[in-house]
Amino acid sequence: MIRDPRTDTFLADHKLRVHAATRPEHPALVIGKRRVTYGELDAAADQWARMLHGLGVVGGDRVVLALDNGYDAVAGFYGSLRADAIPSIVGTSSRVKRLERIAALAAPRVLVTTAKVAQGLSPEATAGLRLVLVDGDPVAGATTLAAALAETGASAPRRCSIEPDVAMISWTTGSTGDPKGVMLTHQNLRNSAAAIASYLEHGGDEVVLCVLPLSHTYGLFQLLVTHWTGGTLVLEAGFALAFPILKRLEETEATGFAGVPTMFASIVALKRTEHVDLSRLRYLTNAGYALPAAHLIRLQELCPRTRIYAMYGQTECTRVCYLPPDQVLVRPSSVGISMPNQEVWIEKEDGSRAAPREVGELVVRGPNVMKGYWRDPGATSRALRPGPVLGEVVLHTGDLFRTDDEGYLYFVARADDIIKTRGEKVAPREVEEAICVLPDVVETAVVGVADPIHGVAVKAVVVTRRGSKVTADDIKRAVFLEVNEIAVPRVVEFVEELPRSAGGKVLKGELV
Amino acid sequence: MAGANIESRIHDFVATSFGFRGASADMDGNLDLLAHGILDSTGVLEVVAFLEDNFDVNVDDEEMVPENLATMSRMVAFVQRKQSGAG
Repeated sequence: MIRDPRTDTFLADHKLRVHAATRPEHPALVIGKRRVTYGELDAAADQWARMLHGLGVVGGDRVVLALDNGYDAVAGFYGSLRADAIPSIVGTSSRVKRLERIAALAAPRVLVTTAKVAQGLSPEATAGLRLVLVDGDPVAGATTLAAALAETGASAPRRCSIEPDVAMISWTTGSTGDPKGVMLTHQNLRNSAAAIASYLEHGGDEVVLCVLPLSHTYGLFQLLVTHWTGGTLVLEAGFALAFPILKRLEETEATGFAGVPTMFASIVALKRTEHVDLSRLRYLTNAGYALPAAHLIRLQELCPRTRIYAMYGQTECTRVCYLPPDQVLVRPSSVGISMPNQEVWIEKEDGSRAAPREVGELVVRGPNVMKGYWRDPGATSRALRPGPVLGEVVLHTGDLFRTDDEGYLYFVARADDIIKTRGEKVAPREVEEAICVLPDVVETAVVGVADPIHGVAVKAVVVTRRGSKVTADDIKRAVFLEVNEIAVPRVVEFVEELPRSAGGKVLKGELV
Repeated sequence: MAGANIESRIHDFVATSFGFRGASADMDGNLDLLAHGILDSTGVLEVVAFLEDNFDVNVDDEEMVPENLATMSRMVAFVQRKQSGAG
């Protein structure tokens, strides 16, 4: 069948083509001192697509990019889309166990990563895939990115995707701690990029500084939203120190910056900021969880002309809502109103809609709702359920919400026992299993407790054998090594026994 | 204050405060703590508070940069510079 080539204009990588044609010399990406124009990035995406084609990738194949923020992650992401493959960006700091699990679930045709990460992977994890290394010397069974790109033939892959096809998989954490692949379509990416760019009022010459990892949708959408309107993304490795980032905002004349509350906490901790000129900074966004009101007020003092957006989203639909900046000091704990082109409501357990102030589950309807969880029909049918329109599914977020009398939204809690700390999901079961590996630990229960800086902090209540020398540091280290940094308990409490119901179930409510 | 003392106190502080993130007492003083994820943005604030409280120095915002804080050796040199009045 002949495919109309204009179909390409409905795909998520098309904006790159448009800007490469209309503003080829405009910087699409700034990394350190390196500037990459739209013309160059568009050509790089084509070259990556030809490379992947040469490595045997066909439409619908998965490509895992285990890379940190940098040029390769961006070019690889766009190039994978252009090869009609399904990319996932996962950072290099995730545990080997998690990366191996993702590789097993996604069964990618190609894994692109660093030599260091590749050395840690078991032979079974890389069996049946093409391993491409962005650095280091060539090793057996692997090729280097430079060599693979150099060998690329002239023929571009013939495209087959249409807008409803899966464009990417974003890996999140399920209730057992096992990775869950959120499938986002070209339509999802295009719609969310357009909707977010519209409420952030992006013009053509935005400069957005991104310190968030591209492996998370909050980070990835800094890229997609900025490129939607032809702006420049200044991509940083991360956020460790506040002052150098503020200087970077100044020297790049950034107009937008996205952060999470721990970052804003270290910005407001600075002693003075009159020595940094942030007059070009048009907006700040916060997501993950609410900023404490005191930090909001201080931030607004630091940059009085900058608009602050409080936002809420989840990977399954990218973004749900934002608080219009004029409301940020009026209702600082609210996450605002539905973003454009989406309908949301709050549903009570009996299926009826909640009145103002009544708590229920947030339900989302719109073109931003994911296609489902990768190869997990059970979890998909629990999250995506038939909605009011025949043949259409809506997203049941698992997040409990309420509105105030004016209709502004507030996050209340998770409906399941997942802990949302620092904006990321932590599965208590996974943390408990990591702690129980320690000798002398008899049992443990992990819960979330309120915390001013982290929203919710992870707390581990641990029972050890008599005479045990296990310390809180041992507990934290075990979680850090087995799970990740986010899951490390802020609070560790040793007790003689865990409170239990008559039926023997641990009463987690009593541990908070 | 003797340099060795500053060094051992900083090493002790980093090892005990960030042990769960992989810090240890016998760690190389030139290891980049930021690049290795031993210090994050919150950890840096804890380090600065420790330096100010224990070595009678005042850390300016401009001094909160990797050149002064990324490794334990740089922290030691930074404190010594500040104490000698050169920083």
